[in-house]
Amino acid sequence: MQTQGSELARPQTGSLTAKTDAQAIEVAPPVDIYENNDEILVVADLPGVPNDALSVRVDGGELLIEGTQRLSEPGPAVRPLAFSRAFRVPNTVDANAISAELTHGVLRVHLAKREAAKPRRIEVKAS
Amino acid sequence: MLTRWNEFGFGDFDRHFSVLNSLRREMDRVFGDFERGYGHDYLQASGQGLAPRLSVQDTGAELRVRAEVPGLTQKDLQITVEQSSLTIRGQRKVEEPKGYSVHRQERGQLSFARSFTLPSRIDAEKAVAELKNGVLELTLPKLAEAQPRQIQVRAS
Repeated sequence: MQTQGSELARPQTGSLTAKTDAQAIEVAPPVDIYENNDEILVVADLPGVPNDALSVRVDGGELLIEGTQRLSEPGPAVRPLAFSRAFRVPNTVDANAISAELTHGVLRVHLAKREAAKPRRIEVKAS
Repeated sequence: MLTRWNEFGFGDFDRHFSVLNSLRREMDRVFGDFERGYGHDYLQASGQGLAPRLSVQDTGAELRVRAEVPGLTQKDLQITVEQSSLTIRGQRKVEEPKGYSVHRQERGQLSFARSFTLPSRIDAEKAVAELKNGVLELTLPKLAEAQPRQIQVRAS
């Protein structure tokens, strides 16, 4: 599978959630991706995932989002979901300047662009 | 292709969506995401669009209802409980951040209204609703008369 042009995202399946418990159901959370001059913003729905069961990291040029639901009362009726999604991150992103916040079950990841990658306005001097 | 226009005029519209859905299923299969399917595990398609993953559990003394509603806050939810019926309404609008261009949009807007008849009569006064990490949890205590009772068998 190839990433092409402005297409930033590449869904990926595989061994990402191998370490989550066997009871959990693996799902790919729905994701929105936005971009402006300063950053790429990734928004994902992760209902029921507490902060400490969430992992967001950039590894080998890929953004990995993993989180498992913590149910107040797991039982046969409800099995927790193990969310996992991976995206290729363009190298215009500064891997050291990534921030994320989780509110009301929605994760927002801010991938800041390197200074050099930001568009610059060039002044035209009148002579 | 000629299609019959039904009396509400939405026939073609629906069909377009079903075509899109089957196309996406096909894509999911191609990309190995077949088992997982975007969001479909917690958002279930209903007549009115997407509805949250929802479960009802009977613990004997109470009924517990759980609904996954990411991005919704108290003010987006409306819960009505009567003795033996429950209605949950919620709405989430897609708010595109200003000044950003869109690369991908899968989350979509969420609008649902689900109403059910509860399997037993409950004490609406003592019903509790809690919203945490985008999950709504309702605890509905049953009326004493509806709770299971153990019957002693007397030896004679």
